[in-house]
Amino acid sequence: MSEEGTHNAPSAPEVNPEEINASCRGPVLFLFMSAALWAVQATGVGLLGSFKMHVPGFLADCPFLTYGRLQANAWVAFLYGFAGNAGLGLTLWMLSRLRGMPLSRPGFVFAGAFLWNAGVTAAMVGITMGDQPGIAGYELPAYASRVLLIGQAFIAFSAIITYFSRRHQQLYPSSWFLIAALVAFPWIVGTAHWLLVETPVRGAAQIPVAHWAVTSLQQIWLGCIGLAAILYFIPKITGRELYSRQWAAFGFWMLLILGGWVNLNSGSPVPVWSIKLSQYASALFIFVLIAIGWNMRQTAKGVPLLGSNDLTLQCMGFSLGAWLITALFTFGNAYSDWNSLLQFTYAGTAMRQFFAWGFFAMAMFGAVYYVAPRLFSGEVDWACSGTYKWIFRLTAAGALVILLAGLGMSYGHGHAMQAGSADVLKKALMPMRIAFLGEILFFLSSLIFLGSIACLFFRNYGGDCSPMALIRKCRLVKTTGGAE
Amino acid sequence: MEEKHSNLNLKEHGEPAAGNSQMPVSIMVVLTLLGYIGCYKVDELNANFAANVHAPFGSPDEVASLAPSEAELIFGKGKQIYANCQGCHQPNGGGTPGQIPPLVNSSWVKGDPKLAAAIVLNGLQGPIAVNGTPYNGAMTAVGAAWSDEEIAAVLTYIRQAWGNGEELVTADQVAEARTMIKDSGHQGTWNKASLDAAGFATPE
Amino acid sequence: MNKSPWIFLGVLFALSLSWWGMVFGPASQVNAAKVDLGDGTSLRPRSGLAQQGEQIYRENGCYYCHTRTATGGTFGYEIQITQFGADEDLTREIIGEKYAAKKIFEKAFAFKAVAAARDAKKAASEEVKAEGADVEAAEAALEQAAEALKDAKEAANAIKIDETLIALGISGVTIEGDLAGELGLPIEMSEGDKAEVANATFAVSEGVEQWEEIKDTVRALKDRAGAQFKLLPLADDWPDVVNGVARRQSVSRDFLFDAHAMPGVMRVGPCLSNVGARQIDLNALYAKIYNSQAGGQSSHMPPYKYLFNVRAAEEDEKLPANAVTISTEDGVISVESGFVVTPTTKARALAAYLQSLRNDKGLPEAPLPDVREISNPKEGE
Repeated sequence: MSEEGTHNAPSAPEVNPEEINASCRGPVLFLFMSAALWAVQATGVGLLGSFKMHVPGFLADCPFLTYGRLQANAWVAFLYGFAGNAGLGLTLWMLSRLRGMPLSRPGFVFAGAFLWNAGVTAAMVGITMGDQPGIAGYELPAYASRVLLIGQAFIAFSAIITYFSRRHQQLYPSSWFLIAALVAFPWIVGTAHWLLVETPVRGAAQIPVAHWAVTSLQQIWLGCIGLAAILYFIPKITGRELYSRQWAAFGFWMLLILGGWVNLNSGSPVPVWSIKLSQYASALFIFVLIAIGWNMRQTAKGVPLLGSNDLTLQCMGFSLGAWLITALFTFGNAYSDWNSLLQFTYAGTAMRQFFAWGFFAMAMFGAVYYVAPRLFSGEVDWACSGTYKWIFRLTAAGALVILLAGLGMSYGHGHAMQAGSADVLKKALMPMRIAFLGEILFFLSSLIFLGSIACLFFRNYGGDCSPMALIRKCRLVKTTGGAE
Repeated sequence: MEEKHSNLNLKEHGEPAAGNSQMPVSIMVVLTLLGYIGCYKVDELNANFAANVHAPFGSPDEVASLAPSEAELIFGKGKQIYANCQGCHQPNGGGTPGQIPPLVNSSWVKGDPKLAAAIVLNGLQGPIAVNGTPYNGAMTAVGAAWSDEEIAAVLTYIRQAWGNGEELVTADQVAEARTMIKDSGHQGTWNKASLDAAGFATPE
Repeated sequence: MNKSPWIFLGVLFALSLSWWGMVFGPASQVNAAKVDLGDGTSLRPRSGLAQQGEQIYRENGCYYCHTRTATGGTFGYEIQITQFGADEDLTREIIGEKYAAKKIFEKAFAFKAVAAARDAKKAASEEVKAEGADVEAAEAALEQAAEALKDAKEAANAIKIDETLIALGISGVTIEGDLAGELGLPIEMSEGDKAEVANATFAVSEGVEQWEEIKDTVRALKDRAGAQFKLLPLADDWPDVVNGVARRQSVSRDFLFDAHAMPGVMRVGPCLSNVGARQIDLNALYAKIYNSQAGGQSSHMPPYKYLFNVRAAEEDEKLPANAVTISTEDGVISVESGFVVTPTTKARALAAYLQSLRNDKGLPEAPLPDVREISNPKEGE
């Protein structure tokens, strides 16, 4: 691949970008809108569950609202509802742009998107009724994963057709990441579906298999989509070229090879060889970190990403930083003393939340900010970029709260567990109680995200969506059935 | 590009391209080196990829040494099989005074294991004396369907439990007893005289 | 020139690496896992209520806050020799080489000398009482014997094996059962002597050595000397075992028959790997599930009241036998005052499942480590 990179200047798109945008408009906006709805759902349900950490008796008499069910629901709504929809939408748009071709077969995308959302809904109903496979991080009942797989196949079909209708000689690195995410999803969910839910393997084997599925979904599926966005938007907006194709390729292949191995806790009830291999993979993960980090640093040299005027650039900067921090945490897991201190504390879950919001959701928010107005052919724009800015601020603040609570406070919990002290329960709850604050911030930013996208639609059909106008038209919006 | 009531500049740069900067050779060297050290470490710590080695133990050898010894396992297995015997001989091996002879400190049990094996295989009836006390009962051929290993295990158990403290019995010794029975042509339940005749010296 | 398909193939290949290692490898290994424990017993799947309970545990998401993952820690080995094997001298030599445990034998022989001296003294005193004996000579002999006994005792006491060996940080050899006899120790030792021997051997059993340090000795004992011995791990910094969370680490065979393995992720609540052995009182378990704060207990577990039948108690009604109760200062009362609370089938299933969770039985691959006062460095901190 690297030998191909002969163009030093950014090559001009061969098809008019507006034409591509128009081809994406319906399907991608549909996916983005669904994502926004699910984000509100995910954070809202998550808040209900987390409130039990403060008041254990809250909603306790309803069997459908136990902490375990709400947590499972929140994660499914985030992972497949928000991340899946937003990620697939962005995949379609970016692949079309990178290949310089209009989106092929948008009908398939619509069909797939309907199925996909039906699958997420089915999963949430199933979990509420008590039908979850018992794996934190992979909560899909069998019927839901089947529908999701078919839905994803439809969307992937369109994406891959677009991918192969190539015009450019060169494959930009982001497209490798996107293709990997498209291929990895059915592989990971298919494996988990067959080996953990449909025809489960023996109990003892489920532990490593479940770990592989959960880790791969996070590191490879979400990781690839988010990194594709970062690798695309930072050079795109700064108007530079990506520093090195070779570094990107190196990071890419290392991520794919290592992503499924890393982060196995040293106290997992699996044979010692699995743990040692996982620690080895976690140690090697430092190379993924270096490859991505160095490449982006060289690319954006001299550009203050977080201090930039461009909101997308700010989001991407934060997202990149968050990814680097989680990668560093993964690297830390190679050190068993560190891992055995934190393994059953909130730290692991906090890092997952930080990855989900600080890295992935942030990248999606930034990307949507850039993409969505263009899908309307520049006819409409965000009502007020000041409002959208709050999505960035709230998400960033929430992610930082969770990161600090997760790492800082869990340290005390880990020590208390090892010493067997009496206040271990209090120490266990403390980080989760503080993290609740972060979850409130995520909820607020999801609400604004949903509102912003709704406004965009609203304005496209001639409405005035400035805050003042909105207040005036509040009554009207209500009577037309909410912000949709 | 037309911009309507917009505060965003929708003008954009072309699609990004990737540059050709090469990765420094030193990184490749470091990677190779660390990869090698890691492989070496994994090779040292992987416990031969054994399924039964769990932290904090580190090698199959170690786990094999931790497992109960063969003697302990045979004793444990014998204890399980003894469930078939304890109805008469009692869990404590004490028998029933005047009816069932004890196994504790019995010269029949602690002597040649082949004798005990023969009795377990074919049963025993008629008058005998155990440690000077006369008994006249009947024991069925409980072990007729048991394997050599099972008989060896239960004999090991009764010879070692309750302070009997004898050596363990091997399956070979049981097989030997079977051969002796076959050679003697005896069939059915033993009595003291037929045992003696078949070459199993009974104690007085 | 068209490299697009290669990305596909490369991605498939790269993903397959971790798939083989984390999915296919472990799954086929576990498929081959044996169920028997070697001693005639074997692992059994849960049945009946406990099996249904696993589903209750799963559908309510209990695994979000509870783990079933007792972990390992640091420990040292103690070698307990139970039989010297065919070649006694070789056994002694092997132990001696490695542990300088010859001191133990010196001490043992010193005690033998003490016993001999005591026998001589006893004989001499009988001689004195005997009729027609040379009283003077006999008394002199008795005095001599008494002197010899005193010397022997002093000599025996002078051998301070415990201090020496502990100072050297060397693990010792516990003498069990008939070994004392094999060493030629007098069977008729006084209680004090016995205690001293016992203490001496226990004191050196610190068990700080790692496998790497003792493996050659273990092999030699087994293969060359044919000795019978036990390796006992002594927990040192092994939090889950020292803190009483569990008796040993959880291993993969603990999950062999689980329909859905739920090792858990966070210990917001306690680790349940050995809960069946810790909380055997069903009523206490029900009270905990019904309302873990009942009776002013400090807990943040949400109540799971919907798993119980609750009806208002009639006036002066005596609580039925299956009512869930708690003990307070006022005696045993209903867990919800004014109401009669009885478990539903779901609650009984969940409790049966929890009771089936135990790791207080050693497995061949995970024996129960011993926790001794001496081996807990945290004490007094």
